[in-house]
Amino acid sequence: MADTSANGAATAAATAAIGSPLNKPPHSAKPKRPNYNVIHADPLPVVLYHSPTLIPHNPISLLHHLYLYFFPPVQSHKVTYIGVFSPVTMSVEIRDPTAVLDLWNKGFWGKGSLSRSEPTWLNREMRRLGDTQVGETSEEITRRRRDQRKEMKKERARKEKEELQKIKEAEAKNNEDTGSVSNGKPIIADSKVVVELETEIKGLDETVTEPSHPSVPTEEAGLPTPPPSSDELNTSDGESKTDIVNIGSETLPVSVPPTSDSPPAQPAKVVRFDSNTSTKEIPVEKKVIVQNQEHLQLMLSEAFFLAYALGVLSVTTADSPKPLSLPEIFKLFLRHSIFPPLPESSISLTNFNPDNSFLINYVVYHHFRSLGWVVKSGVKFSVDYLLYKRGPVFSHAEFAILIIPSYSRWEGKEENVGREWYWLHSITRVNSQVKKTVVLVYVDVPTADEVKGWDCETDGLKTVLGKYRIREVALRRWIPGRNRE
Amino acid sequence: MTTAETSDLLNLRSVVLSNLQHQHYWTDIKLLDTQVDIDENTQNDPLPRPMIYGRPPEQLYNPEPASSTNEASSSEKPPADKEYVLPVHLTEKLTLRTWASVFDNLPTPSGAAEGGEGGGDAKKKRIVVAVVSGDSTVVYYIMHDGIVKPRQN
Repeated sequence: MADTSANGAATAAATAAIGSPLNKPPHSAKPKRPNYNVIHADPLPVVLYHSPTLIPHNPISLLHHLYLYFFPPVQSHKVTYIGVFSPVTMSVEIRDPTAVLDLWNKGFWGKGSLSRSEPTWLNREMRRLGDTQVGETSEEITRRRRDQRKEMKKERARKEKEELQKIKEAEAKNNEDTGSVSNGKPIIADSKVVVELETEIKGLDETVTEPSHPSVPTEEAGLPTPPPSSDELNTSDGESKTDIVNIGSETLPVSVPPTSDSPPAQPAKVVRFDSNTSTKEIPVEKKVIVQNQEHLQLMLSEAFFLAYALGVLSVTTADSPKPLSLPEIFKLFLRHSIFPPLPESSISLTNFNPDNSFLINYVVYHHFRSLGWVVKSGVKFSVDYLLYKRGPVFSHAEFAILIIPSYSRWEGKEENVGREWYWLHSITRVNSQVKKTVVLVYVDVPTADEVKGWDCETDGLKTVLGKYRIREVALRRWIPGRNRE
Repeated sequence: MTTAETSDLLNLRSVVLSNLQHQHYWTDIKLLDTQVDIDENTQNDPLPRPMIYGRPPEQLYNPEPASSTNEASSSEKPPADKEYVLPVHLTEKLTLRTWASVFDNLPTPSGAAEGGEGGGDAKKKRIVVAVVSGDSTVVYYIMHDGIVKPRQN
């Protein structure tokens, strides 16, 4: 891998040199890791109005405050984003590039519909078509890592097969030599080979499993792996040696068989990991124009939080550009909480079902967002939500949220239908594998009577949401043998 | 419980179609509708749900260990097998009857090309279940009509 990255760096340096032949040291050609602290400085997409400090003996300060007293700012922030509700995706779509960028940068709202997390499809497509002016995306980095791993597994399978062949040959030879007598000797010889084989396979296994232990590649399933590894992959110096680098550096020696007694006929098949980096010698300065097929997609809960709790999103439909009112949005989302969507007539705003899954999901979303967590969908980890401390680019999600509606106030409604220990166990297993703590979030669902007639009140929705109660239970599997201290 | 209208299912399929085309670069995509029989030569009933038939950029799942096909693949790679994709929604409740009728009405794969010892598994019908969720994530699962040999590592 060392030569791989050196190669990559050299290529990059070469292209940079052609691009601007003047004073560019080779190491500055490496893609710089973006400063996420600056990009994501705002945790929410709102601009708050700060009133200046009042200095009593300063007349200007006094005047300023008097002015504010008589002409207060109507609103600290205004509706800035327009989302279109799409019945096709049953979600709210944002297509305006600046809004997309803003919503992603300030609080990680939504997901690129064709990306793992941040909308990067356009960049990926441009790079795929040979554009050299856009930077590498996190998806490509993950892809490369996976390709390397695949190659390595192939190599391992090949080695296993070879060893098997060797054993068979030795067996056949021994049988010829010793004939029908003294079975003891060949067995010993064989077992030696077997042991050798086992240790070798074990060594290989370690190289495979090892990268999954440290921090970075745990989120194999493809959820937002923080892009920071982008530059690390290309660094040839040891200062930021990541697991990715380790994979390469440890597997390369393996691919050259260490055992000298291997048959000479064996082809010295060295896996070239750098094939993809070295073929990147694309003509410099190519610009590709692609029409963006991607939009930022907001989950219903996200969209409702932006529209209702923050008031920065107005939702329209494809039919008319007129923004929907909050009750209209509410009804629309209640209808589209499940697939197939509920018919228009089945939902009345004055008398809706408090057990609607949009409401239950929203209550939980609102709860954690209000506490400052970045809440994302947890579908890839078989849970409802994932909680990120600051955002997916900073760290992996620490908590996996499992929503469990509780009907203690209902009469004769059965709880936890179809949820057995097997179900819980498989979820905790999946999530402990990726070092997440499973949190069971019980939502006490109010009865239909409690939420009746909410829209008669001015703050009806607040009253409705207030009727839901949330209880959290963090869950951890306890293994008696291991957790002894 | 309402049943899914055709338009809903077509919406769902269009989401998966866009995902396959643009995020995963599938090619040779053919849309299979519920009305039309997928193959004139078979007596299959129409599919219970609209599906997608297409070619992934790489072979999706091969129960045979990679090493057995390794030697040939270094020089030229055979194109990946085409797959049947069934779009479903995360919040949807599916019944065994739905699954069964999907499998029943798919044509039996020829599978003879692979030949050899893996013939039994290669003949098993399989679909790729595309689970669409509200945040636009599509999670794919491979589902076989019966038990197949597990893939090696």
